[in-house]
Amino acid sequence: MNAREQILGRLKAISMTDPISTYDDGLKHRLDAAWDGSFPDESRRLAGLFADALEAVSGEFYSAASVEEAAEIVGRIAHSSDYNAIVVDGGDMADNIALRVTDTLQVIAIPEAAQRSEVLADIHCSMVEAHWGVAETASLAFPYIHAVSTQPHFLAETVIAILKRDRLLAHLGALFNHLSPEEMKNLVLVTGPSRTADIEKILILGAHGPKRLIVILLD
Amino acid sequence: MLKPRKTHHYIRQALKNDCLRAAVGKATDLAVRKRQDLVNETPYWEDLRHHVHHLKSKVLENPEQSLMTFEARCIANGINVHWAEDAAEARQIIVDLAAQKKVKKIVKSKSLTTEEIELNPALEKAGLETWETDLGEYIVQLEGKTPSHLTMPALHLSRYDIGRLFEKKLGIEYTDNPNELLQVARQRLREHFLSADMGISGVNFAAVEEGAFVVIENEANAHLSISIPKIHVAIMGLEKLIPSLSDLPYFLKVLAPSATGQKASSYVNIIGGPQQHLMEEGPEEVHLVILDNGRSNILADASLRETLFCIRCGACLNICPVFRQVGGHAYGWAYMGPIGATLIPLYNGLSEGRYAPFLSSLCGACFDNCPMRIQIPKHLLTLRNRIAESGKTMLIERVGMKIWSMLAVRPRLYRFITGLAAIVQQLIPFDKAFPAPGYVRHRALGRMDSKGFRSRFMDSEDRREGGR
Ligand code: SF4
Repeated sequence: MNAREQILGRLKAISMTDPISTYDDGLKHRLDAAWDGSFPDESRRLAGLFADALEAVSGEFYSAASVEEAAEIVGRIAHSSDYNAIVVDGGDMADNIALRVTDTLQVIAIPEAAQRSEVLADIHCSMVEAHWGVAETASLAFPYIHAVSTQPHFLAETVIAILKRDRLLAHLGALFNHLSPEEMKNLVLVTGPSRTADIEKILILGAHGPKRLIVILLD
Repeated sequence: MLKPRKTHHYIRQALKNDCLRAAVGKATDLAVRKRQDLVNETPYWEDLRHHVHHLKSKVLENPEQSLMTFEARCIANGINVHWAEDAAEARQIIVDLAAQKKVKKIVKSKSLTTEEIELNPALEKAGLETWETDLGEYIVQLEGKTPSHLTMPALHLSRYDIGRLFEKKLGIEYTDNPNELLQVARQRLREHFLSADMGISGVNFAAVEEGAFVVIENEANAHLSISIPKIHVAIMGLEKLIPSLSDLPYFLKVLAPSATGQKASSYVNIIGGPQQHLMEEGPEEVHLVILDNGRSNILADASLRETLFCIRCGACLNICPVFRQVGGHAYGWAYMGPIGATLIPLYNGLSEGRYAPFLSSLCGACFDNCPMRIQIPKHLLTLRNRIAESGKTMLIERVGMKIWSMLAVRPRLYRFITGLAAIVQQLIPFDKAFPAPGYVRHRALGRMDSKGFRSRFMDSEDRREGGR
């Protein structure tokens, strides 16, 4: 017998004996209602919660009424950090914004797979588009079926994420209700810049991924 | 790897180390405070604890069925599933895979299961260049030791220790600035990410319904270990199952506050197969090793199977008065603190792990803080009983308990003997206590002529009678 058969054989012998805990079936319903009930319905207030949660994890928040305004914000960020190039892994919005910054910034499309990580490792700033945002935790969801690459999210020092206001959800439970099975199966959830507190519990940003995560919420 | 049977020796070493106690105290205080703030903000926290406990019971109630469904879905998603009976088999699967794929360099993200199976020495022995990439794990790897906490591997080291370590091992100029130390590690490890042939990670959760697994982290090293090398190997204990990804939010909601005092971890990676066909990046091959190593026997043990619900958040360590005194290395194994004290004898056997369940004051704080509602004190008592019944305790303990139980059921004899001891006590010169070598090294032995429980109890009864 191989390992699989031996392990499953042992487990078969214990199946269905002695249910471990008793459970009140109303609990999940109560829990979901309490989780939902702690959030406002209107998107303005959700945006405020998102901004607070993002700042609590050292992220930076901007809100833009139009693509032009978002492009101006991107330009300002790049200028203040002396960036002259930006990698764009876009959906429509990110691409539209990129079109409007070309006179001040070199816009780089995702490189071919073979050179991708080498090229991206030398680029300081990237712009990506989040598929969903979560107000409670300031998390951004990037299902791989909608992405060209996830490396711009991780290799650049500064990541600018574009999030459409109508893509903002209240909490993680709501997010997983909105994701299709295919979307949730290959996914990365990002909350704030990369961080470590492994030395004396002192928080340092930019562990192996980005040092800055800037979210532009777009109407 | 340390050995649980040497626990007494490790404890003595730890108790002599004031710096260790200060470092552990500072880090755990902060973690406890941050967790408590988040729990206070969540009025439905208790319901969450009940719910995640229920989800785990549900998926492990019929583990054979759950694992077979999970395996079938993983295979349908293009994941290669391997099964390992024990640590040696798991190590061999990974070493063989590396040889077959001509792997030279491996980047690893933090995984307690790989610590449990002692993977790194096996990889190094096979000539594979292996790099831990989580900062804390990287530090511990350079130090040549094992992690001292489930979520804070380098908790036992100060920034000065780390500065000296980097100076010695990496040949850099001494600095104790945490940011500069991180930059050195980041730069070195970035090179390894870009040139590694294989990435290895653990698994936080494995979703049965979807055949996908979840890797949670804060540094982005796990994502880079998964997405850059062409081969990814994940290793999971067979208890990591959850029913479905739609249940994941409940686990995420309890894990981050309990582990790091955050509302959410920085990165949650969900892997449902090789991603090459989606993005032309990420691993071409994903391998998943499902490890038993004693878990199926624990599942068969109705009174202790709940110990496998652990999500390795470390909250029980941070609150434990014993862990806070002795740190993680004193337990002598990959898992430490209150949950380690239960897992050590369960995985290593009652003889090898005979001291671990006694490293607890049974105050119950671990249960109160455990997001999974694991009744650790109850399990520790069960294990203490089993150890005592199996005769694995020290001779002096066995004789002592025999004498005590003989006296306890004979109140008159008990009174006579303790009265006699009180008289003898007063004959000892300089008001010294009874000699009890070993026992009094780190604590005081009560005086036999002091006012003991019996006489205090009788006094209070007399007072109550008088007051009526
Ligand atoms: S026993 Fe509970 S508190 Fe301790 S590490 Fe496991 S899940 Fe966390």
